[in-house]
Amino acid sequence: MTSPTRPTPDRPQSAIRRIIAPLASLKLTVLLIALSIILVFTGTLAQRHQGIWDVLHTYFRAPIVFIPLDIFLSERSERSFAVPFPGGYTIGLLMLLNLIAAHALRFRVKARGRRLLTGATLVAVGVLSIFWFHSGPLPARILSDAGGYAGVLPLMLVGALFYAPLVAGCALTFARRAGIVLIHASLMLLLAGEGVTAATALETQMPIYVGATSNWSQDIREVELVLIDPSSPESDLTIAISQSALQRAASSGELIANPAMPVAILVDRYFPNSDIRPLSPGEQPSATAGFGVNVAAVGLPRVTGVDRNRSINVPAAIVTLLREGLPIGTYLVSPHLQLASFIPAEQEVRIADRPYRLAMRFRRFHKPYSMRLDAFHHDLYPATNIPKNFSSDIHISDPARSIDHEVKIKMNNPLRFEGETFFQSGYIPANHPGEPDLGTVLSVVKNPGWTIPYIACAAGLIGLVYQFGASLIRFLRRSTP
Amino acid sequence: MNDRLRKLALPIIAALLATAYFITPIVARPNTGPDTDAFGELPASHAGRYLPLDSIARTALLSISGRQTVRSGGDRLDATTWFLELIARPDAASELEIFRVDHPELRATLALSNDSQRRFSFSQVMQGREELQRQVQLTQMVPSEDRSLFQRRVMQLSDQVTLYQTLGSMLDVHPIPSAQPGQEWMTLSMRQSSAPNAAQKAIAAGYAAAFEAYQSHDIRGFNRVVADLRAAVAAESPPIARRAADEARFNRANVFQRSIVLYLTVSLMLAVSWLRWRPPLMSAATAILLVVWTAHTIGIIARIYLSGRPPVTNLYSSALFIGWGMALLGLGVEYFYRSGSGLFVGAVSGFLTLMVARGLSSSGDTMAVLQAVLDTNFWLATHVIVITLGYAATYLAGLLGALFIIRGTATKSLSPQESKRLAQMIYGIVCFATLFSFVGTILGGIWADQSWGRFWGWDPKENGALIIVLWNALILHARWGGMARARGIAVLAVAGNIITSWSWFGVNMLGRGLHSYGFIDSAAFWLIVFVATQLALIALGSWPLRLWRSGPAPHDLTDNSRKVPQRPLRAATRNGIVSPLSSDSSISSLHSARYVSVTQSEPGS
Repeated sequence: MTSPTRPTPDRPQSAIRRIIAPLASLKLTVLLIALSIILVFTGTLAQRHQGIWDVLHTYFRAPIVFIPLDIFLSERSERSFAVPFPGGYTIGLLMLLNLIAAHALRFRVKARGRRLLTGATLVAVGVLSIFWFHSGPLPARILSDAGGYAGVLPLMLVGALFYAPLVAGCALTFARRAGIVLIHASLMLLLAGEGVTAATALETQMPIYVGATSNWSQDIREVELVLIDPSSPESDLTIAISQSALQRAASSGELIANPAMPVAILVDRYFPNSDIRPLSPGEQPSATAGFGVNVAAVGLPRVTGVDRNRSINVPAAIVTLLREGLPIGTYLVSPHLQLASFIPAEQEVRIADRPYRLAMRFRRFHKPYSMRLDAFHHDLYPATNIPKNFSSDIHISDPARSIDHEVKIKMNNPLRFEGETFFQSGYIPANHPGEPDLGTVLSVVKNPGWTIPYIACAAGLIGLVYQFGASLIRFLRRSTP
Repeated sequence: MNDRLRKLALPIIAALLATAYFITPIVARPNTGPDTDAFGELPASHAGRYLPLDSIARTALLSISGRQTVRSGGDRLDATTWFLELIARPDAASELEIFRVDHPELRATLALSNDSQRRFSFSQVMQGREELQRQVQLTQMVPSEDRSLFQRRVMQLSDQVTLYQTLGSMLDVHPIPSAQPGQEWMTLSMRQSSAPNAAQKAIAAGYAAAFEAYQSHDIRGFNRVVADLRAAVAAESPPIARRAADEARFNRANVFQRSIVLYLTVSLMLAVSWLRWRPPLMSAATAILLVVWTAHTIGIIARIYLSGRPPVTNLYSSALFIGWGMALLGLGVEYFYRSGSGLFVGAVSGFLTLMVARGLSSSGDTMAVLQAVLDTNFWLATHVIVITLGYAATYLAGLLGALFIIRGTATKSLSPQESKRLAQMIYGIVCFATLFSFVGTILGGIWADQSWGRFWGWDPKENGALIIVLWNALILHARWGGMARARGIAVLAVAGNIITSWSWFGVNMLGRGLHSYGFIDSAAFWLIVFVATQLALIALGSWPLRLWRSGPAPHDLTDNSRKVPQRPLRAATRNGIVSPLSSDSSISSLHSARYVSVTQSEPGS
């Protein structure tokens, strides 16, 4: 970008400058914004054919994406060309580089001497105070003391105190450019925050029946095959085989074996999404024992992101258990097989004359604490079936940490506990209309980076108001005679 | 003094006329015939909220016929009168032509084929009842997302027939107040209660008497019974009765329908003003626009009071609010630039968005109760308002861009100064749009984090909002980098219209995300038409400047950067970069290359 005819001042970094100048150019910024618009647009269209989780990993959390052109058609086509395109990681990284290069090159520090020192100190103090504020208990306490949303305004006022040093420092250091610097800093934080979320966040669901206690949550995007040894009176021993191990074994035909397992497992078939139907007359069952002798599994296409009923993939598998090379039996397993919603049906298996239980269920995460559902409320608008609110009365107990108390989780009013957040996401309906609901479904989210967008939001808002506010004031001064 | 008065007379008269136009339907009352207005103000509980019978009747009639009135011979029946006819004189009502059947195949299938006719009576539709039932059964075997237009129309007609029959028997209308506050209201049959109290029995009897009096054309008897009924219901639950009566009055005032007419009038006056009689037309148009915008504001405030909700809760109310915000921004632009352009885009946008709202109003009760996850006034009042203002600002910039292109290509009125000023207006509005859409999108992320535990889910509606932010950022950076000048900004802003429409309507048509709150078949058609017009404008705007009737503006010539005067250049150096909202667009037309080299040579004092 730098004009070659113009003699550049003799500075030691001028060679580096010449290299990073193109990286800092506004043309690159515009190009990257345009590319990101195309990526977001195609990533939205693709959700008609692909699940949102799938799209997330092929478009936004990927270095490169092959965009099939059939996303622009109403029907999914079998033979469709795919165009390679930079994925979310590539564009995000280039945007970060572009921002950093632009700031290194164009956004010169305006202050000198003591002013610069004061400014830089204030920026450092500001960054520390913001992180101290957000990692501490203060925001949560202000919100809970004021009772939810009423606390947002006090929170903003208190928060402004903690952001003030940063804003003052930026204003001293960058003068009129302080607003832009803050906006760009917030964008970098947002990009980084999305990266942290991609790397660390985990979303699971916790169904609890009324009166029951639960100490696990499950990830409904993934299944596991479990073999449970109930012989010990204190606790069951569970051997779990992951979905990826099942899929690998199904495609390679290899046995799944482990010294800890009493049997080896052969995965005869694996269906990524399936349905279970009764056997047709005369049809041979693929299973030799268990539930599978009466039903058959059929494969279904994977669900898409904009499915009207928001359904999920429910896999199924046909597995043969072998002990010392001899088959014990072939079983059909699937989360479809259940005693009731969220209660997987386990099949009795006798191995070396000892009873075991076999099931395919959604992947479980066990917790150090347990939650009991005392009551579930499903409020309706008068004289209709339109839900107005859902809420769960939960009793949490964690003997190791001396926690034993009640909480209420409502829509738009989650519980934050032990680094996880519990949201009211659904309920277990009754078997017959008119009866009360059977239980609650909480969504359990663990996202260590959850505060980053809040900080980015605050910094970006301050920056935008600073930038456009200052411009507006200048404009008004000029236009009033 | 006299001269000043004469100048003021025209706008004052225009404003008074416009005000009178809004007030007439509220004060004018027919003094002969049954007082159906009073009947329509009676409250009932229906579909989860308390509302006047007039609202129930209007919503049903709009869903069935697409209109708020019924033609009967030479007369026009309003919705409440139609409702009374339906209950008290069902045989006469079944001859009123209200069922709108647009699809020619469906008309043929039901033997309704009459070339010019679009609306049919209940008895006409019922003659094809068996065929309709058969078609419904066939359609029900097809999953709802795979149905053809014909099949969707079959289901729609079947729903309308059901709605007609349910309303005619008042099965889901609960007009009898509960004995205790907090209990559910009852239907006229009072099946919900084993032992209704005396007041409840009296109200049920009052309704029966009112229907009987109406049936036997006993006008005085009807008016007396209705007056007694109102007093009896009001005694049971005064606040609900008062609010229902207010809502019925609001319905009758028809503020938004009347605003459409006046916004259109103002647009036409301003269009003419560019050809002739400029000063008087401008002043009168300004006065009328201020009145109609005030009425628009009052209408939105009335809806806030009636629904107890922030202004935007569904697609319909978002259209009202976007129009309001655009008209406000247009007035703001006019305040600073006084060229008529702000007024014109304000009026045109008010007209267009209220037309969109009108189209959306036939899909059901516009103040219907909200899904549980949306039931939070805090987020509706923050995220939704801010993001909707972001839509409004982006659209207004696009409309100014369209004005720029049309005036530049089709007229000679786009002088270099005018081109510069319009580009500045667009730029300023894009700054607003960036602020609102950025903050609104992030607030949405925080809501999502609060409700679902994820700040960003790449859900279609979220992505739509993100694209608006990105597009506005692109316009700003393209300008700062000298890649887009006056004409470029105008063309990019017009493309912003397509992007905003995608986010507002397009994503709802993709299927159903957590966010998508409404879908209407015909909206897809109008969206395509709109996008096509915008693409045509972009193509027009991209024509070589020498083909423009207004000719190229001097500062749009490519060699312009050489003409940059020294002083602003130094100013740019001192300030680091060109300031946004800068009135001197020659500064912003610097190339970034030049800019970089300039900063490099700055002495490190």
